[in-house]
Amino acid sequence: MNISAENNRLSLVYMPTHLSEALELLTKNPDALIYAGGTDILSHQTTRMPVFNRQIISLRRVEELKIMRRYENFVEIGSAVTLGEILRRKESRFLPPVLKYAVQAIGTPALRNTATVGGNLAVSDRKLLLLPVLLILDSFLEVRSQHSTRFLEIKRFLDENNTIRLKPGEIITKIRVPTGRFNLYGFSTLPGCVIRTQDYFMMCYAVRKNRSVLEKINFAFNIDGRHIIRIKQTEDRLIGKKTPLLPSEIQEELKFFQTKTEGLLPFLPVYKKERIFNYFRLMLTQEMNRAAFIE
Amino acid sequence: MIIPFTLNGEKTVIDIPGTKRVIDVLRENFGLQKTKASCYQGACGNCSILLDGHIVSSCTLPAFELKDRTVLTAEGYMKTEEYRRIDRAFNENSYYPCDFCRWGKIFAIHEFINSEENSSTESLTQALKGNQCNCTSPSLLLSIAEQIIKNERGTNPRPEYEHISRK
Ligand SMILES: Cc1cc2nc3c(=O)[nH]c(=O)nc-3n(C[C@H](O)[C@H](O)[C@H](O)COP(=O)(O)OP(=O)(O)OC[C@H]3O[C@@H](n4cnc5c(N)ncnc54)[C@H](O)[C@@H]3O)c2cc1C
Ligand code: FES
Ligand code: FES
Repeated sequence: MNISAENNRLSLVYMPTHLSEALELLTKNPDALIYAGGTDILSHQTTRMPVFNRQIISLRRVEELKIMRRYENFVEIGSAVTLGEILRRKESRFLPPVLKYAVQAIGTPALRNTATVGGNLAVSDRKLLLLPVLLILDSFLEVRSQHSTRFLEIKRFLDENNTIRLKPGEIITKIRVPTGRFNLYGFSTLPGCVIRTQDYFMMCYAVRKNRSVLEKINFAFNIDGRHIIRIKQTEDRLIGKKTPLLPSEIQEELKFFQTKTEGLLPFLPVYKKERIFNYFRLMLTQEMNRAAFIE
Repeated sequence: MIIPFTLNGEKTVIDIPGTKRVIDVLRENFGLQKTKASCYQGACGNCSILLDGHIVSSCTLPAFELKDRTVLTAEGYMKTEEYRRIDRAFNENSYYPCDFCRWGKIFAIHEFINSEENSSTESLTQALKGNQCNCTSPSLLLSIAEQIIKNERGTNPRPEYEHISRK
């Protein structure tokens, strides 16, 4: 095994180069900290000299986690690929545009060159930007431990708070993003809003339109970096409808949507509920009418 | 932890705690004081350096991440032709950012020049947003950056910068 491990007086840092080594290390040291880009980990450290008091397993040198490959119906992204690389790699041309818009909207170029896709998904104290976008694209996650592999739709990894839950000894290894399933996408955030503040809003959708008929529609909101909202019943109700929707259909859907969100987020202030409602209305009345593009 | 890496073109080996922040390694162990620290949170852009040619915040980077990689700080980048051209464009437009934010802005422009992003005002605004500065005009920086990028990506190897008027 060619793992560089150095006792740096404060923590032992392992830098494995193969996934099997990383997983073996994690099995042997179940309390070790998985370190990808470190942007979230270090931003929680308040002292100049970070103190970890536990072993660190850095994923940066694990080659298997840095691949990005295009297949016929999907693009596979290794969990240690940085957000900056997603925008630079040639395979990214085949990704659904909504994912690229989302990546571009994350932080700054300096942050994107360090932060990884896996890290963005695995942060558990907040809901970051990629999770809702990958959810609406029906993406899959590969999660591995030394002796097992789970490969499932992202939604199957979510707990009741829409947070990705991993078992001890597991790491996210790959994200599989289907391509060619949708032909109309949208992504909006409030201008100037920052995910680390209390007032954050993001909406994204992916639609498959055949001529003017909605064949599939997925949409999700990220509210304040704390809640991911996806209303499956509304998605299902819209399938088969013809665009532009009739005024009566719009009224009906708005009413249904309002009752649903009210029930889901009773604690949100009125202006935030109105914001969600207004973006949903905009999606129904204008966005859905845009022409679908050919991939 | 023993960390071999290339710093401003020279191969270097250093023995330090691997979790020390790179900003502190550069300033304390190498005396490279042009890299500044303000927020220590990855938010302000003042501690920007180039790691393997790409802009990163050195405050959210532990030293162990440097192993076998190439770092260019302001001191090293100042020796490049690209820097001289960016500096000339700043001077010709009387744009003088302070020593804290200057390098974050310059490295953001460098990153954009070397990316494949289209040079629309929107994507350039996005690229420059990592630099918190309330004392110089963002629109002036944007128009200077637009000019630099147009020249750098064009065919002219020694670009002449048009004067950009302040509005
Ligand atoms: C200034 C600033 C601005 C930001 N702005 C935005 C924004 O606009 N939008 C947004 O979405 N986010 C934003 N973020 C958050 C940023 O996107 C995350 O910090 C980053 O994506 C985390 O990725 P990382 O690789 O650095 O993770 P790390 O910090 O290395 O890890 C984060 C967590 O995930 C775990 N982890 C990492 N990789 C794996 C893996 N493969 N398997 C299992 N667990 C893993 C780690 O153990 C840790 O608990 C911002 C952060 C900063 C500092
Ligand atoms: S000090 Fe590093 S980004 Fe502010
Ligand atoms: S912070 Fe440097 S000029 Fe504004």
